[in-house]
Amino acid sequence: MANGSFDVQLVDGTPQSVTDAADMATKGFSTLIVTPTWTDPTIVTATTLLGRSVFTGVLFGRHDRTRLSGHHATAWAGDPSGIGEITERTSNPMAFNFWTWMRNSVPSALSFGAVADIVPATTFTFDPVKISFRSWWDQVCAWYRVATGNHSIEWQVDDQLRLNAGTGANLGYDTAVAILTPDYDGWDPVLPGVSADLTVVDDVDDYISRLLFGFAGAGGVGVSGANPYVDFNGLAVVRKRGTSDTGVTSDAATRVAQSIVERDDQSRRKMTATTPLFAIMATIGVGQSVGCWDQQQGIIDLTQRVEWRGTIANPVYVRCMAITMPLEAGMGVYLVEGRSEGIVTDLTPWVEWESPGARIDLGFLERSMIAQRPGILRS
Amino acid sequence: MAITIGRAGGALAPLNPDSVSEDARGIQVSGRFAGSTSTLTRMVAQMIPGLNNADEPVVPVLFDEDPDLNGFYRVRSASVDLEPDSIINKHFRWSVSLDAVDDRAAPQVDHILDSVLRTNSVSVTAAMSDPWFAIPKSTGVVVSEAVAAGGVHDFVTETGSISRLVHTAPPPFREVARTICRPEHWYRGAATVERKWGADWVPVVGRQAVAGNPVGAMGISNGIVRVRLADDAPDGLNFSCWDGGWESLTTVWCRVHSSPAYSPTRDQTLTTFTILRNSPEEVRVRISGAAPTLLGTLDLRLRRGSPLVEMRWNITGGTVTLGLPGRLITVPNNTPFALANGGGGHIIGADAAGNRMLQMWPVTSSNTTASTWSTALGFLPGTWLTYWASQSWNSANLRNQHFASTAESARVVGA
Repeated sequence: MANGSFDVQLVDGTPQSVTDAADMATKGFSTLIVTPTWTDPTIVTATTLLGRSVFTGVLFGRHDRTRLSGHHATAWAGDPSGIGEITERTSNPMAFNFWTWMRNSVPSALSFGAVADIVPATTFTFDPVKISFRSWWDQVCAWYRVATGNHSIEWQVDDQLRLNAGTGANLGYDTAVAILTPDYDGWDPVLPGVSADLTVVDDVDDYISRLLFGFAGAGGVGVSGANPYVDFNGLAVVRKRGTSDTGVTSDAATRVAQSIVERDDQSRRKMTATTPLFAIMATIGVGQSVGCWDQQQGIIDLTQRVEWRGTIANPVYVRCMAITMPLEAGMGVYLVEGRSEGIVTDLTPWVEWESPGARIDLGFLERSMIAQRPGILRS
Repeated sequence: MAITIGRAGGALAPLNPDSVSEDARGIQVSGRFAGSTSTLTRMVAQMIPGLNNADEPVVPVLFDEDPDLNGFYRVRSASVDLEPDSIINKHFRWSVSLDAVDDRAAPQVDHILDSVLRTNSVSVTAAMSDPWFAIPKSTGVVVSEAVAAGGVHDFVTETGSISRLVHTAPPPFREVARTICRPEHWYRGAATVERKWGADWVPVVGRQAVAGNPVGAMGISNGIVRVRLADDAPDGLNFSCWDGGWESLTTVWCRVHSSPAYSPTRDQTLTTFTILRNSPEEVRVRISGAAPTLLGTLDLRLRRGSPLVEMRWNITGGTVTLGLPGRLITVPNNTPFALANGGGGHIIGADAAGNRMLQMWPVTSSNTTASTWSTALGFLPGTWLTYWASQSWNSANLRNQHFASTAESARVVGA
């Protein structure tokens, strides 16, 4: 999973005392918190603010005094350049269940959150050496996905700085949190409506018929997937991809490769929704599922029936893979310097607010979050 | 010159433009409305801006002096200029800008129909269910064969004749039926949200206009069945059916029960009336209120040509045990019945014209079998009209039609 990112522009007149809180020489890696409404940080603790956060980021840079940038808290598991917590254990294969594998790999910046054990309990023999925790989690999840046939197994670093892992049902991703449709907005006793313009693209850009996967050491495996396509000569389409990941151990390689093939041996549907709704991350979290329903555009799934707003809706259930949310006036933005109590700098009065219009990237349910790019905070 | 734009205009509040400018794309009309009363002035001031709405992007426009201009137009903009004393002085200026659709005099219309079998705890199957849809009966109507295979039946409603088409395929299916309609026929049997202005019930245009106090002032109708918030019985809904006149009035209350039972009995109040959809093929409204310490939302759906009003009642904000449907829906002088293959209801004895009102629920329950819902209940008051007797529809037929739930939206073909 790629990290989300943020980019916060402060106004030119921001006082020095505020921008000093982002002095990279001493205050790098401070925590950026975004809440859907402003809360006075002088009357609540940093922990309370974190509890209300809809986006928690890590400060990585400052441009021209007033522009702050960084990554989502997922970066604590390894940033895009591969720096992060890397296990220093020596080779010694171990056999654990899912919960224990995750429990043994929590970065110090995060806490161990809701990690479910995978049923049926299956023991995975694995020997992670000098790999990042991110790669560790990816391999454990991939192994269990293939072992159980449940492709919803994954990990997540949430906005409360917790590591959660389990199936879609464990993580609450199986239940839709909203219905996106062109012209309804607001509360509903069944599911909230989010007014959104939906666009759909179907493509085979990433289709592969076979994956050649190299892993640690000299090993390599080839795994074929489903192939419904024929070329002009009437022969099965050949689209192989060669890839290698020296961080993947031989124990996990076949199943990691299979997990990639099962994701990419089919056409892909990408949907995007744009919505003017305020603070969309408060309604829809990255990774959660939503229903999309647009009768006129044919975005319907007649196998789905939900009594909604006086009729039976036939929404297509998809997962929210990424959200790009503008910072709008009314939200709260804070920078927290880690200490036992947390020193909070309220950026809210100084943020250059943006105009409404969030973008939501949607993917089909069976598609994994791996290699997706969630939670971008635009500025 | 008088003009009717969609549901705005007509005998009660004629729109008389003093300027009509026409170009290759369409027309712009503007005029000064002078009402006989402040109420009428207020009504038209709400109607015109409502023309620009997502539910009816294309509307029929009729000109009494130049019928060559009659046709379907896309509403580009619609506005009124209200000044501080406009309502008191009973006049204001309005303007509407319209783009003609191709072949405007009688364009083709795609009716997009998504039909599914309604989830039910009784044993109604997709094969038993009877999907249908209705179009205004119009000169030169053309219907795609697949849809008409089950037969076309014409009916007379309060607002004109409709053709009701029966599908043969069982749900689920998506079908796009293409028809042709003339603008003057478009609102025949249309589903309509009505508001009472003074003594008159008038169609609401768009979704915006609602009465501050809906009791006795709001309702929905399709010219076959009608539901109005009763003013003679607070918290009640008045149902009526059409057979040349409005007959068989009965009142329904949404009665909340708890354990121990509320005493005296409590009904959901009808405080807020929201229009969820307002198009000729289907209207949906939501009536919210306290029930009694929780929030009740009652969603009503009425399609063109339907003898039934589909209702969905949700309680949120806590849990109560809603009691027997027979107690939820308190109707005087009713006869309970149970249907073969499940479901049950009440039939209210035939009126002088031989019509019967009925209330049904799509769950395994007769009136006397205990069954509880914690937060939601679907039910459907409707009518069993002598008018329709030629079809020999009984309550089981109506139930089977209801179970083939069809979402419908119309799209006028052409740029």
